[in-house]
Amino acid sequence: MILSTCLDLAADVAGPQLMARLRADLSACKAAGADMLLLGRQDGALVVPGRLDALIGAPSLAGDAQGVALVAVLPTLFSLPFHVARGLSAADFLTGGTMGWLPSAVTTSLRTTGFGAEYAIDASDIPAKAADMVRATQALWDSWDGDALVIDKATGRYLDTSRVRRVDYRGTHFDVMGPLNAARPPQGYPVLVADEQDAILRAPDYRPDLLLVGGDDAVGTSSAIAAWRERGFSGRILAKVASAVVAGACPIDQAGAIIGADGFHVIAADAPSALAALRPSGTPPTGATLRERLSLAVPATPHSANRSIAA
Amino acid sequence: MSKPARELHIWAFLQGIGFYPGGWRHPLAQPRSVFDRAYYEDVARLAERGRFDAIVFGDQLQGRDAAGRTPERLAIPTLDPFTLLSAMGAVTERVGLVATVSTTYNAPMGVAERFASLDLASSGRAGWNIVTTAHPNAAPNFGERDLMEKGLRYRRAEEFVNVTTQLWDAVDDPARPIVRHKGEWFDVEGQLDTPYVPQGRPVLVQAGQSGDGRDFAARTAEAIFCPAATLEAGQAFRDDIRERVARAGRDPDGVKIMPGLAFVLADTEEAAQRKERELLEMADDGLCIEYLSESIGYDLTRHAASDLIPIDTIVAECEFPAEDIRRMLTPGVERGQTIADYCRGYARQPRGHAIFVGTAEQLADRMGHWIDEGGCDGFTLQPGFMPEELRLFVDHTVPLLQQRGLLRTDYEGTTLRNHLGLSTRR
Ligand SMILES: Cc1cc2nc3c(=O)[nH]c(=O)nc-3n(C[C@H](O)[C@H](O)[C@H](O)COP(=O)(O)O)c2cc1C
Repeated sequence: MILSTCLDLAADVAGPQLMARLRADLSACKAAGADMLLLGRQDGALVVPGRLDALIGAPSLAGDAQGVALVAVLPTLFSLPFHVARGLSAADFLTGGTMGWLPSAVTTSLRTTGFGAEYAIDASDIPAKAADMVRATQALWDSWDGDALVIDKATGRYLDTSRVRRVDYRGTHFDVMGPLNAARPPQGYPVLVADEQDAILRAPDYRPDLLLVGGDDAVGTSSAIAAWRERGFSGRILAKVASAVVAGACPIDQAGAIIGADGFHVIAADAPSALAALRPSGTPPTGATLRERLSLAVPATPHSANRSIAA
Repeated sequence: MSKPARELHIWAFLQGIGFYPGGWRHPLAQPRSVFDRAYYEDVARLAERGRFDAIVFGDQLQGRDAAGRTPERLAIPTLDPFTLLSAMGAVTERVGLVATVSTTYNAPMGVAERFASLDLASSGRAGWNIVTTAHPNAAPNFGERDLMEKGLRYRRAEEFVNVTTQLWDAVDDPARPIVRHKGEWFDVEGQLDTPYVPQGRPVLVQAGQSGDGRDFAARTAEAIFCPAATLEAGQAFRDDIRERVARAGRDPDGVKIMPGLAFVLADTEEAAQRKERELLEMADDGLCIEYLSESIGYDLTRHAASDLIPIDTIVAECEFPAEDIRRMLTPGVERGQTIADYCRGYARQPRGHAIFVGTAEQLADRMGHWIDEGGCDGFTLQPGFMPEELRLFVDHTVPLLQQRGLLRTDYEGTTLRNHLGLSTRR
């Protein structure tokens, strides 16, 4: 059973204390049994980008997290595939293959106008752009095979050039040539997470590895999960559970009645106590990488498949 | 006459594997550990123990391939520098963190957010090496066919920095104003979500050589990373920049000139020279040919190493401006060199950055001499290979610099601005 929650800068401490507080919050969640922390913010039931850039937050917190997977929540409409592909590749190496990412199509009006005219987009085009950004990023990861690095001092061979290539990805919104100047992440692709309320899921054929679903009550969440399975979703599903145990409110108590979930994503204000209340109902997943912990296969590059056919 | 600096600043320029292209093959090099967090944590602590002002990473926005073929024998430092600096900042408390970020393939809002986050996460140690990206293969990684012309890139850079600065300043303003800017390149109305930027503004660093680059630096930069192969070149560059800075109405002491200095250290001069020879020889012909291929954007491995330089084919097909490449290769063609001979000379000959080979004492002498003679305000030190040469520098040269009163024995402040003696802008 996977337990997750969001982690972001606190709203109620002064500037110089923000990082110490963030690290303390991480420790508290870890001690309470979290398996995965989303570096982002909870806006009601919806996960949105946080106040600290998650591609800075993840490597900054990697040493503290040790064993707890980190998921970077990124404002996808304003991210460029080349930068994101490299940042997440490095973060996946530095965390020993325990990175996930949640490309979010959610934005605020001041971020949208802050990025300005260069990034202006029609609302109806948002899902397509966000999903294309994800595909372009994955295409860049595919510019290196997982076994491209040789690093043999004796022969002087650093890599196998047949396993690195330009990909010339051409999408609806992004064109990227590649190759990336970064090796394929240890997990192939970092785990792709989505919140079911996020507009990115309106893009056809968008297939995250892990979905955050529900949030109201046990019955509603169970039927939402069943609906995703009926539509053929075969990845992992975390049920969103709201409100604090301390308040004696139902949803956490009802967690046991939620059917079909692989774990819980806590959206309660007091996350550590909610995590601690849920932890006894299931054991933490095992495995070195986040993919292993979620029993997700490592994606192969389309190019390496071609290679073995050619060989 | 050059005005000497009062104190010496040192930056650690850390590409994954070090200065020498063949250095990753040295018996003490650790080319596999550059993929692990522990390596960066150790190196960051080492730099902080050496009282470096900052750790600096360069950055490129293209693969290392020439015409689609990625070199086999060149060690490619593949981890994203911004990510590495964030991890290094987590295990240190003082040393600055300077990331290279392009103004051509980013938006001001995104860059302002990232540096605000790095400054917050590191409690005031972020610096931005502002580059405009010069490699033609970067453009198609960002949906563009061609690189923008240099003059335009610098114009965009100037407005870009102006917008990011306004965004940071607004965080520092208790009124939290919304930044409204409409210019030649950017039309924005924005506000950062970052609640706090400890330095007010991250330190602005620049690396550019041309007149456009120098003028941009004079108006914008607080520190400059540049090549200076000789003391005279350093003095000329520093005098020129100081004059341009003064003309731009700024204080020349507020801009630190930090030329690159690669080094190989040993107990005796002979041992250091032997070590450098070994490092050079580890770049075999195959590596040297790939090295030049990458530099000119043409895959020379298509030809036999013993062929004469096929200059017309290269110039017709290379990815860089043809005339630059023709000018570069012509002396080799005139000497009747083979591809292997030319490439060996190219990869093994010092270009641009000064290279020091000798003892810790000689290095300290030289650094002190350059400072006394107004050749620079400090050095961007580039270890011959990592992490061994950096360790030798910290253990042997740093104490000498400290004994001579050139380098701090401890950090006085906590921010990068403070280490560099720059105005606080808060
Ligand atoms: C010492 C030095 C280091 C540089 N490092 C980088 C770098 O890491 N990434 C990059 O894109 N450009 C780098 N540049 C390129 C400059 O930012 C600039 O784009 C290029 O030099 C062209 O401008 P110029 O003609 O004014 O020099 C560097 C330049 C110098 C002189």
